[in-house]
Amino acid sequence: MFAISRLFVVMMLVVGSVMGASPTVTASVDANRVMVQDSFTWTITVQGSDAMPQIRLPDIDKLALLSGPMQSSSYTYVNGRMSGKKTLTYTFVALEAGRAVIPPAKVFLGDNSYLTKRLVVDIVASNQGQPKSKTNDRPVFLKAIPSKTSIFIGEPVSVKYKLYTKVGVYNYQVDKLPDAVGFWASEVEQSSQPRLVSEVFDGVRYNTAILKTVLYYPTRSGELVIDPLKTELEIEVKGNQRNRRLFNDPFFNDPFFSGTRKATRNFLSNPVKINVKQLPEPRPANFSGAVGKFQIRANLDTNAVVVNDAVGLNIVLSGYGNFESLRLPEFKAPEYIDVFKPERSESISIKNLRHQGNKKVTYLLVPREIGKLSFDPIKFTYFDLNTGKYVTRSSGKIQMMVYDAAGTQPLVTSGYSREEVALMRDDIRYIKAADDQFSLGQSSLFSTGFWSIHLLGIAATLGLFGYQFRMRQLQGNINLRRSVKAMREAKGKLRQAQKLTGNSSELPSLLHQCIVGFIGARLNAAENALDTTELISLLREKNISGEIVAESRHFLEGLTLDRFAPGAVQQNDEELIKQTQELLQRLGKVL
Amino acid sequence: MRRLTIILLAGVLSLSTAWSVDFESLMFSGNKLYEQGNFDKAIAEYEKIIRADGVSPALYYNLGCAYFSLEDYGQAILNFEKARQLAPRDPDIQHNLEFTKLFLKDRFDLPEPMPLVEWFSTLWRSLSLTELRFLETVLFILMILSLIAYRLLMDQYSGRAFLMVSALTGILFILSMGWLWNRASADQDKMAVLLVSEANISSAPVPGSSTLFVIHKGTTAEILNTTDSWYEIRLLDGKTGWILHEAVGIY
Repeated sequence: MFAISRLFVVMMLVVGSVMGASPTVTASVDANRVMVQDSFTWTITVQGSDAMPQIRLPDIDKLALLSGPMQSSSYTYVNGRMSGKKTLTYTFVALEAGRAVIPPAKVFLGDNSYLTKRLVVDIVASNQGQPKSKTNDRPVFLKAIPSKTSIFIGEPVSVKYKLYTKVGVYNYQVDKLPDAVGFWASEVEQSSQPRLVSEVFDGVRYNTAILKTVLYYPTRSGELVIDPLKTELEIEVKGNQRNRRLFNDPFFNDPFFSGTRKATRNFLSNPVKINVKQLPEPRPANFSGAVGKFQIRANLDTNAVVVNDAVGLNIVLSGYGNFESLRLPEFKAPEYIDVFKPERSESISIKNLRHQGNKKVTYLLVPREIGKLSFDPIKFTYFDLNTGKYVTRSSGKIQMMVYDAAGTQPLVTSGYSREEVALMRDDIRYIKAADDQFSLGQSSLFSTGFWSIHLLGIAATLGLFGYQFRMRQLQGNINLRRSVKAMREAKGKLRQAQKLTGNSSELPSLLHQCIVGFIGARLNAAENALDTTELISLLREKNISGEIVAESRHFLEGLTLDRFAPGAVQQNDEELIKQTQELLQRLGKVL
Repeated sequence: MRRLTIILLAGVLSLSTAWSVDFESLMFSGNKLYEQGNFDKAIAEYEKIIRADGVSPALYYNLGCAYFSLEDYGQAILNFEKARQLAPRDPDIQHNLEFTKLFLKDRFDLPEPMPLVEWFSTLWRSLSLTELRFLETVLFILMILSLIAYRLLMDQYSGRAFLMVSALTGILFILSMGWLWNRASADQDKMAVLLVSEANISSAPVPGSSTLFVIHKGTTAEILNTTDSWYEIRLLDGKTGWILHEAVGIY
């Protein structure tokens, strides 16, 4: 509670002290002598008032307001008394040499008003008393460069605003185009970061950048002035030199230590004077101020239309020139055609520092009479800058056929297209000769043949894949291969045996090999290591029926006996081979 | 076996010769009648071929011309459209179809299609179903052959080339198959032409239902649905409604 009451007392004291004193208003400039295109500030200071001052700025010759007012307030507290100070700062630029007088300005503080004192600034021409151009001394300056200085009304002049700099520039933004009374201006689009080009100007090398390019179209004749371009740029300026004084060493003279910093500065280009000439006389009657080079076209959506049906008439003006200020010629329709409010569109862009594109107007016409209708060509006159003469262009005659809507009203009516109108003049083409190939009926598209080809193809592919897969399996597995080939090899041996008939000494051995080899291959046992007993036990392990096992055993033993004691078994060769065949077949079924 | 093949081949050949001679003479007499200005009889001759299951683009074209001469624009459009399905790139068919359309009462104001869409649509219709089937089969055979060649020459350098060929022909084959299937489903009896001079389009497939709008002879429409005696149709401008089977021809 005590703290709050103390704060209240302090506040009352402060307010009392501020309110009690009578305010003082002063005005000052930061330079009494400036050069043309230089800027200076005019500062209004108000002391002893809490209200923000309002100023009615007087008209000042020879000066242009560059920026402002910038407001600032400060409070000082001296010997227990607080005083408030408010400043308003305006930045002016000197436009021409002479004496500029800033008349007393009226400053309003609440209900009271105060007058500032009259100030005088001497403006000297930039090259006065200087052997060299002033620009040489300035690290950064802005120049306006016009493409021409003498033009006709309606002829464009392009002005390039070029920045010359010896120091770093951080931004190249220009917010506002200069005032140009008597001109219609259009800015040429460019990238926000312009390309820097090195250039020597007055013997000094600068980096230059085009900040803006503006096309100006004069709308009246005489000596016209395009005001200077004003802009605020962030540039590199040298910082304080304290470092170098402290460390007087070349090492610290390096730019790294020199302490450059960013600073915002105002820049102003030179004004541009243009001499605008009147267009030559006599002017054609239908000339409406177009300057450049133009073409005019007019066409109907369709040339054949049903009566009371709508058809569009398009008039297109294309080319280059002062599009913005020109009007398309009006279309005057005969009485028997109703014309509805036209639709307008345009597509204009800047190319090669001139406006080019087209302006289009579409009228909706509704013919009320039948027959062949034709309208006068649409004419357009312009002043050709290349030849210095007036040129009249014509669209050519516009014609259309209006037909009667015969019979009942169709469901949807419309005009015929250009292709259809061309077709109308044609006739139906003649029949074809009888030699054409026939096919049988609307037979099914996907016939048996169609499917057969597809199935055959798929089968062939799958067959090949299957075969290759099997081959690969066999290549990788010797036992499997042996087992698969067992029957083929056994049959081969049988064929061999048949050839041996009559020379029976080798026959029992071959037949033995045939059976043993087959069983061995199928049961995956080494052929050489097999004797009859082993084979029989292997067959038993495989759960082969006892009958076949017994038969095999009996047969193999008989063969063994015959091998070692020829004639011991009384059987002829053919019978032996037949028995072997039968046994092989039986074994083939179970193994 | 060889004898059987020869007999079969001879049978097929004799059969084909038999019908073409017959169709050709009918077509010839139809053309003769047309030349004499006897369009009714020419139509009767041409239709004999159709009843005998004979089909050719020239037949439908000539039939369309005969109907056009009799100012039956509905039948003319129907037959020109059928001819165009069989020979989509024939300029005469295209011309006569467009020319006949000039005589129709119902006309539709349609927005210009985008160039790409128009190009695709032209390409889509540029081949007949028979040509498409041939293309699809050829691509299939090429794909299979190159696949087989690849499998056989897999271990050799040239095998890779065959793999590339089989992949390429495989993609083309799939595309052509899609094309064929889509066209086959879109081309078969999906469009209707009004054959009577005027027809009421009903709101429902029920006798006595309210009339939505009226169409005139020769107007074509897409068939959306079918009942026993009604088709649901959609006109070029998007209007839909029901119409009786008898009033329209289908292609």
